[in-house]
Parts: sequence; C-alpha cells; structure tokens
Amino acid sequence: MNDVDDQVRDLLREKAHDIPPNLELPRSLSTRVRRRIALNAFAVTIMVIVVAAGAFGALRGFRSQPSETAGTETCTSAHLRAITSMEGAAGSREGTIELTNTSEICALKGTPALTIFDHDQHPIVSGITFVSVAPQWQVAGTPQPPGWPVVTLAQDESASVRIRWSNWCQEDNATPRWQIAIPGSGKVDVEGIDTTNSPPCNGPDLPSTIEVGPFEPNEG
Amino acid sequence: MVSARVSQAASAESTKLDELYRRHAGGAVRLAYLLLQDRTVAEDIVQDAFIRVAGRLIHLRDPGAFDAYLRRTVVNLSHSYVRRRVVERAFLKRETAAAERGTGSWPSSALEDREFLWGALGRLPERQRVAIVLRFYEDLAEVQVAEILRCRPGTVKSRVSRGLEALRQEMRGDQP
Repeated sequence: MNDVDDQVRDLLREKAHDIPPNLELPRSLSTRVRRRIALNAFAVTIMVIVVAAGAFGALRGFRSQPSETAGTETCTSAHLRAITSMEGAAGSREGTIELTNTSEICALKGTPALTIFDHDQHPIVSGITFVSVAPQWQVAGTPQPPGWPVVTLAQDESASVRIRWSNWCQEDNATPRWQIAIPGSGKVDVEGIDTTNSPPCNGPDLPSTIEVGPFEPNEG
Repeated sequence: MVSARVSQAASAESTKLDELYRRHAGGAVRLAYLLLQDRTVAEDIVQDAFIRVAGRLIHLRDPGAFDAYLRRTVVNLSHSYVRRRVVERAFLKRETAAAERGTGSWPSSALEDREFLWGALGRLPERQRVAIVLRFYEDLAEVQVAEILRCRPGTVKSRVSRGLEALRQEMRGDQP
C-alpha cells in the first residue's frame, strides 16, 4: 500500500472527476447574478451619494453652520457691518456692538469672540479676560425674543451684542482697533472705536475684564 | 439609441458571465464536492459563491484573481455550511447507517480502499479536511492555503499532518 499522502492525492483527483470540468451557466443563475450586479451598483451609488452629501454638508457646516440657524443661511462676515457705541458706567464702559446685515436674509447664533488690538496692530492677549454673559433681554427681565438664540436678519436689520469692559491699566490706554468674530465665518472690523471706549484704571493688580453677550435682536 | 446601448451592454455582460462560469465553475464545484462530499450541496455552494463574486468582480480583467476570490468564497461558504450542521447531520445519519451495515468488514480491494478512505476523509475534522483538499487537490503551497484560511502556514502544516495521521490510523484499523 502506498503512503496515505499519495492515496489521498489520487483519491481526490479521481473523485473530482465525478464533476464535469466545464459547466454551463444556468439561466436562473444568470438572472440572479445580474440582479446582484444591479444591487451592488445601486448600493455603491447610494453610498457615493451619502458620502458626497455628508462631505458637502460638513463643508457647508464648516463654512456657515446652516443647521444651527434653523435653515436660514448663517450671516457671513462679508455681509455684516459692525459699529460699537460705549458709554461710561461706574468705573467701566458698557454698550453694544451693532451688526447690520447688508445682504440677503441671514441668521446669527451664539456668542461672538472679540479681539482688541494695540497701536502696533497686535492682538492684546495678556492682562485681559473675556467673559461670556447673559443677553440684555435677560438682564432687563424682558420676554425672550421670538426665535432666540437664533437672530434672523433681513437686509438692513441689525443684531446687537452686549459689551461691558472694566479696569484698563495698560500704559497706552488706546485700543484703536476691535474685531468681532462671526461663528462659522470670518471677522468683522468694528467701527466707532476711539480712546474713550477704554475704561478707567481701577487698580493695576485687578484683572481687566470684557464681558461679551450673545447675539440678540437689536432693540432699536 | 440609449435602449440599443443598454441592450448591447446587457448582452456583453451576459456573454462575460457565461464565459466566467464555464471557465471557473467546474473547478469550484469539484473543490466544494471534495470538501463536502455531496455534489448537490457543492453545486449550490458554488452558485452562491459565483453570485457573490461575479456580482462584485465581473469586470476584473485578471482571470487568476477571479479564480482566487471564487476559491476563497467557496471555502468560506463550505465552512459556513458545515457550521450550520446541515451537512454534518445528513452525513452522520448516512455514516451511522453505513457503519451498521458494514460492521467488522475492513476493505479488502483497491476500490473498497478508496471508498473507505473517502469516508475517512469525510469524518476528519473540517479544518483538517479543508487543509488536505487545498494542499493535495488544489496543489497550493502552505502559504497560499494559510492565506485562504486566514491562519499561519505552520497551522496549515500541522492540520495536514494531523489529518493524514488520522487517515493512516483509520486505514490501519486503529481507533482515531
């Protein structure tokens, strides 16, 4: 008797001959394969659409965050004009930054970031603390504006942001340039800045604080 | 115009399917048959495998690649089939009946030897049987078998070796 290796090899070859080498494609199988091909193509198409839609949505969200503003396009920095108006108040300065929409209807939501610059056009990053605070309507105890925290602006309508700045003791008191950052978009230079916007020094050891509120409909 | 193109494409696809099936199905059914020892089940398995592989890879230009995918799919589907125990149950029933009929009689001719070996091969653990069929029928190297079975070449070697030893014992009449 040969070794079992050879026997197994021979047996397998012999048994394989039970099956004819060339088989014809059954018609029903052909239909099933074509159905599978179509299904695969459909699945691939759906996947491509989903991926493309996801990527497009993410890109759009990155640019303008439309979902956060209830379907209305988010206002972009290019279509907003910002003007501040500050006045003295018990050792501090307080007022608003008013943002006017110069283009088609858009919406704002959230609390913007504020940057102030020195005479050399460098952002002032030390010795100052920015704090998010409640909107003016809450402070004043008035009813919540419709749609808030989304503020929808038709053309020429404006939103406002509450600002309160206290204790500014840096040698060069002036802060000639401010910028307000629009969430999901760029920054807008704030007009109406002058040296009187800076608050008086209450104590060099005390922190300088700028309180910034969220966007809210402009009362005016 | 469009419908003419669509029907042209469908006809080309149909020809391609026919060609793929003629070229690869026979070998695939043989492999499944040697793994499962049941021609009907083997044909079903290969049809399922063909649908899966052709559905995805009909446009592959390399026929070797199609063959490799089909072989791997056949092995995987055979494995799933055995795991579901459909084959095992039927097989065990048949084997029990055969054992009852042939108690005490060892093979005495070459033909009986082959049938006895065929039965013994079917009684091997599935992993050993698959490794042996791929090594001895498909003539694949241990590395290639390992790739199909997603294990190490050393594991293939040991499965083949254990399987052959079990067959030797059965042929000698020892208890495996």
